This record gives sequence, C-alpha cells and structure tokens, in this order.
Amino acid sequence: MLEVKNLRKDYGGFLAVKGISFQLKPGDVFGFIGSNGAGKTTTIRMLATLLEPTSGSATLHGIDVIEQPMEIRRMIGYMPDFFGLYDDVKVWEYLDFFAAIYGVERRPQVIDEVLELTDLTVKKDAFVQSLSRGMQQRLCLARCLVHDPKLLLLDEPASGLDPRARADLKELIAELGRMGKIVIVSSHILPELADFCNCVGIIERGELLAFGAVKDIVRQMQPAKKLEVKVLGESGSVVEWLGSKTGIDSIEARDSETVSFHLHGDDGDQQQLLAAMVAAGVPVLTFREEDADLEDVFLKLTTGAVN
Amino acid sequence: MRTLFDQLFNNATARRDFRIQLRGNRAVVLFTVYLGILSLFAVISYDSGLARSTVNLVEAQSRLQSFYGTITGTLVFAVITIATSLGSFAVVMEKQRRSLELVFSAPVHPRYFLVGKLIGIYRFILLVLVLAAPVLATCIMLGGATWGEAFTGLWILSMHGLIFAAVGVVCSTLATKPTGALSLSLLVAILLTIFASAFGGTSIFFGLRGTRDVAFGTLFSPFTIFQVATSSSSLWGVQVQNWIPFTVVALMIVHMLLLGAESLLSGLATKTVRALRIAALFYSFLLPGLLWLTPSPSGKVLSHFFGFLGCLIVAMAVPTITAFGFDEVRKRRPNGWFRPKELLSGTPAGALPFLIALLGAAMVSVLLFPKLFSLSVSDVESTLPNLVLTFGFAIFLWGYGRAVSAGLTTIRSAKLLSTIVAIGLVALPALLLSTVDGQSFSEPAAVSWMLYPFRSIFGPDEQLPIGFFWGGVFAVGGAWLAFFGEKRLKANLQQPRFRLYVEDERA
Repeated sequence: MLEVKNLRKDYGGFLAVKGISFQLKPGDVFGFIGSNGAGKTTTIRMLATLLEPTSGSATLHGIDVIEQPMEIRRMIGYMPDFFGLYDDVKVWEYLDFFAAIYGVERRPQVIDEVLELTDLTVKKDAFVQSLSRGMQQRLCLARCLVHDPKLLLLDEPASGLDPRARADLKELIAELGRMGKIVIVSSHILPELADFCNCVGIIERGELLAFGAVKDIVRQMQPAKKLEVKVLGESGSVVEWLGSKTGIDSIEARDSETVSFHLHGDDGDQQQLLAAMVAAGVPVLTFREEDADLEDVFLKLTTGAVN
Repeated sequence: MRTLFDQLFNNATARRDFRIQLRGNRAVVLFTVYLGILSLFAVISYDSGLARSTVNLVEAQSRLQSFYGTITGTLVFAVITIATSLGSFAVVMEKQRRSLELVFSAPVHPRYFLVGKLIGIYRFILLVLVLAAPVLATCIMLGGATWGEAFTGLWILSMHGLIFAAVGVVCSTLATKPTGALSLSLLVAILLTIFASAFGGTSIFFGLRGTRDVAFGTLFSPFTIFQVATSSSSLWGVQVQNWIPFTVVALMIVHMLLLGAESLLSGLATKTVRALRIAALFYSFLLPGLLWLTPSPSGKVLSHFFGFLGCLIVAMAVPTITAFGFDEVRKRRPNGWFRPKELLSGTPAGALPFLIALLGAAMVSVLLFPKLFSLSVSDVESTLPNLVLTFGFAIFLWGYGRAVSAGLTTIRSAKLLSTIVAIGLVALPALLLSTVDGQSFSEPAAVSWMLYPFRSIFGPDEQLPIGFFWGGVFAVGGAWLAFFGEKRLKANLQQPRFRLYVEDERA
C-alpha cells in the first residue's frame, strides 16, 4: 500500500507541490496527469527519494520515504523521462550493473527473466547505443524490474515512442499491474492512460485536482451520460422523439443515421430509455454509451497554468 | 549496508568502468601511444647521455641514474595526467548523461559509487605502470637503479596516481561539464604538483644530509619519488621504510578527498553530511598526530608539511562550505554567519563553527599528540606559525566567500570566485616575486619574499615566524570581509533579485 499524505515541496518560496494526498493498493496502475511544470516529476522524484519533501509523508508498505530512503529504494523502480544509458555497454552488462548495485542474487537468471518480460532477449549481447528508442525504453523498464520492486515510478514512459512501441509498452505496464505491482505513470497521452490505468490523478500547479477511477472522475465532471444511437433510415424522427422525453438534452444528429445526446440518469434510466425506443418502433441498429473522455475532463479541470 | 569488502573488491561501478575502459580498440591505441612515447623518451635520453664510447665508471653511473630519472619522470608525468583526466570525467560524465540519478535511485551510498570510480581508475593506473615495466627493466639492466628501488617507486607512484585521481573526482563532482571538470582538475593538479614538489624539495633539503634517513614527506614530491623510494625514517628507534607511512597518509588524503566529493553528492542537512563532518573532524585530529610518528631529522620539516597540508585542505574546502546562494536542487540560503548548532548540518551558518572545530582539532593534535604518546619530538613549537597561518588563511577565505556570496544569487559563481582567489593567493605572488626578485625563496636573506604569504611553509626554517604575521593579516582581513559581506547582504535583501531569500526565511 502506498500512502501519500499532504506531500509538499517548497523551493525557497516556490511551491512546486502543494500538499497532495492519495492512496494506492497493490495492482493499481495510477495515471498521473498534468501539464509541463504541474508538479508530476517533483512528486515522483520525492517518492523516489531523490528529493526531500518540505513536509508531509509518504509510506510504502509502512516504510517511510523520508526516514528510511535506502529501504524504500530497494522497493521501488524509478524510470525518469530520460534514458541515462551508458555508452559502450552491452544490454546484459547494463542490467548486470544495476542488479549488482541492488544486491540481486542469481543475477544471470534474473537478467534473462526481465529480458524475456520486456521482449529484449534477442538483444542481450547488443550495445545499448545500437538499440532503437522503443527498445531503449524497454531496457530502462527492464532495469527498473531487476530487483522485483513493489512500486514502479514511470515518468513519461511513452514520450517519443512510435505507435507500435507505445502499444507494446502499454501492454507491458498493464501486465505489471496484473503482477500485483503498484505502477505510477505520468503521461500527456491521455486516451492511452484511460486504457490501462484503473485510477488517475490530475495535477495542476502542484495541486491534485482530481483522483480516482477514470469512470468516476468523468462521471463527476460529466453528470450526464453521453449516448449514441444509430437507426435504420433517417434520424430526424429519432431526434424529434428524443426531444419529447424528459432528462435528455444536447441532442445532435451526427449524420443521417446517427444521433448523440446526454441522458441525466443512471444505468436503469438508460435501460428504460432503450426499451421505450424499441417499444415506440424506433428502428435501433446500435445503442451505446460513449467511452469516458479523459481529455475532456482534463481540459475542463485545468486552466493550463503552470508553476 | 554493503560491507567494506563489497565496496573495495566487489564494486559494481568499478567493474563496469574497467570493462568500458578496456573495451574496443581505444584502449589498445592509447596504450600503444603511451608505450611509444615512453620508449621514445628512453631512446632519446639514452642516445644523448649514454651512447658514447669512453666514459669513466663514476660518470657512467651518474649518467645511468640520470637516464633512470628521465624515464621515471616521464612515467610520473604520464600517471599524473592520466589519473587526473580519468578522475575529472568520472562523475561529470554521469551527470551529463543523467545516469547519476538512476544510480542514486538505487540503494547506493555516494561512497560506494565514488570508491568504485576510484578503484576503476586505480586499476587502469596499475595497468599503465605494469606496461612501463619493460622500459624500467632496461634502466635496471643497464645499472641505473635496483629492482627494489623500481618496485617501491612504482608503488609510491601508484599512490600518487590515486591522490590525483581523487583530486579529479572532487573537481568532477563540482563541475557541470566535462571540459570544465578537466580544466579545473588539471589546474588543481598542476598547483598540487608545484605545492608538493616545493614541499618535497624542502623535506629533502632538511632531511637528506648525506644519509638515506629522510622524512617521508619527501615522497610527496612526485618527481623525486624514484630517487628516495627506498629511504627510511626512524620510528621509536626502529628504521621504517618511508613508503609505509606515505601509503597510510596518502590513503587518508584520498579518503578526505572522497569525503569532500561525497558531501557534494549528498543532500544538505542530512545524516550523510553530519557523518562526513564528524569523520572530517576525526581525521583532522588523527592525521597531524600520525605525522608525528615519523619525525624527520629536523622537526621543522613537519611544520612545513602541516602548513602545506592545512592550507591545501583549506583552499579546497572553504569555498565549498562557505558560499551561499541558490542552485537548481539545493538550497543554501544565508541563515546567519555563526551558529554553533549548525556545526554539522552543512548550512552556511555552520561554516565558521566547523572551520574552527576542524582547525582546533588539528591544533590540539599537533600540540598534544607528542605529549600523550611520549614521543621524542623536540620541535613541537615550530609548528605553531604554520598552524596560525593555516587558521588565518581559512578565516580569510571564509570572509571572502561570504562577501562574494552576499553580492550574488547563484552559489556556483560564489564558489568559483572563492576558489580562484584561493588559488590566486598561493600562485600569483610567487610568480610575481620570482619575476621581480632573482633570489630563490629558499634563501633566508631574500627580503622581498617576505611579501609572499606562504613563505613560512615553503621558505627556510629561519622564516617560520613570519607565519604568525601572515596568519594575523589573513584573519583580520577575513573578519573585515565577513563584516563587509554582512552589511552588503542586509542592503541587498531589500532588492527584488534577492526576494527568494526573504520569502524562504518566512516560509
């Protein structure tokens, strides 16, 4: 369990993080969202024991980040927004170095395991500078995994990656969550975060504006459900029919067959509405709730101001 | 925490660095060039000094020794340059590729990392020395030296290499760019060589006296190592080879330099800084005491050495611990000029208490150690002038550091200006006086050299008392600068660019 309480970082009158608090449990994949300069990296660096918080506390499985940094370092894997790779070092040597400084036993076996997990086995004897950006990113992730950490801090892991590499990384992070690790991922690519994070936090100017499951946060910001219906034939009559109902607004015909609208109600109301449409003879082809749009929520919540 | 054994013999940083150093064609080319240069010097030296058909035996012996001296001199130059250069890149390259942050996100103490860096460089130096063995063997076969002299000399040179590598590592920790680190390291290495050569020369001057019984201080001069490698000193009536105490003191110097680098890599007001300062105080007490254990024929040699070592440490450490201002990560705001409770915290207010404690411990050690251990040292009092000079020099640099910091907001500029003044004070007057005055500073009658503040360290015994004068001048000057700095700081705090200090104080 990771418990962050009122964590604050003050650079001599400059408040980078203004007392943020949240809790995560094993298996949680937490998306940390914010503009550049919002305080994401500062928070992550404090959790990684690289920055001393001005006040507040953070504990991982009961161990305090400030009081016992060495113990915490054994339990975390930190991947910053840069690679920090050595030249003239082979992939296995790079991992061996980090495994050694973490005091890992059975190093060759562990290196083989993390290489397999990150799909880099074939590159074991390659020099790190010869790897593609996506592979280097995976190697960095492999480095974070050599000591089997309980918490992974990934700062902008997908930046600069092509779509294929991004998809691979996404799958890998989801897998780490399934392995029971707590994963904190900061990113600007919001739709992707919504795909594999079971909770997110939105930070601006050092303040955590929202925290929770993606669906819950979207629901808070968007009380109405955004629905879309596709009918056989013209959609004009459907628009008219929907307009006569209560609790429905923002009706918009997207094309000749598709209409979108907002329903102020819960899942039961949604089910009743569909039943009423069918009973009224509306030729429904598809009826669906549009996915939660994290980007909309982010833009609504934040002003774009930075520290 | 890792054991000392792990740190020294199973260090991952050392293993990785050594692997990289020897990888590919680069190492082969480097070693070939090095051996080529060494051989070229040997051939030229042999050709100009020895390749003649008729010389008498005495002259031949003298020329063979001179040949040996040329080869070893080249070797010393190579080791100093290589060790300093490798040391200067050790940390700054990690900073530049930002891998330092990755290392410190692991459960790694800065000491483990720095020791690893140093071991990696030391292994490389050993390789350089081993590669020189065939060339040295030529000298031995020709009769310029014995195997014992050569091997002892190589060992002492390796210790010098370690010291210079540690100097490079400290500079590397201070710098932000490799070129800056290399320039600073080489500059410090040159000054250290001049300083050490002058001290070694002084030791030889007082120590040789036609016997092999010389103070081990002579070994601190890199370019005379091989000439006095097998010399010994009398310790409690027992002849002890000088390389033994030299090795002990060299390792202590390296440890102190590493402590300095470690404190630069550690956060402020942390347990690490506290531990490091306690260690520094302990060494400050222990080192002068240990130096008494190998008294020279004249106790005054140690007086020079105490002054030399003290001023060297002061010049290196005071600018770092005194300067204040803001940098990217750390905060060293001006929290007062003298707060004893900040002695071990690493904040600017604790700089003066720490300096007083540091030099106080050294003074107590110098004055009390011979009495505590009933050592037959006749010249304890002769150390006082240079101790006073060291203390005054420290106060001056402290005052100057505060005065400079008061006018600047960035700590880096303040440190740089302080370091330049520290180096300039030592080097510039010497250069000026040697230009103006044709006399050597070692001559007691050279009046103009009285203007050189460090004459009591480098000059003859007769000029030792001048250390009191210059120590006093430095101390008064430092106190005035500190007072001026406080006034300037108070005035500057009203200006917008110093706003952060005030806001931080409120926070």
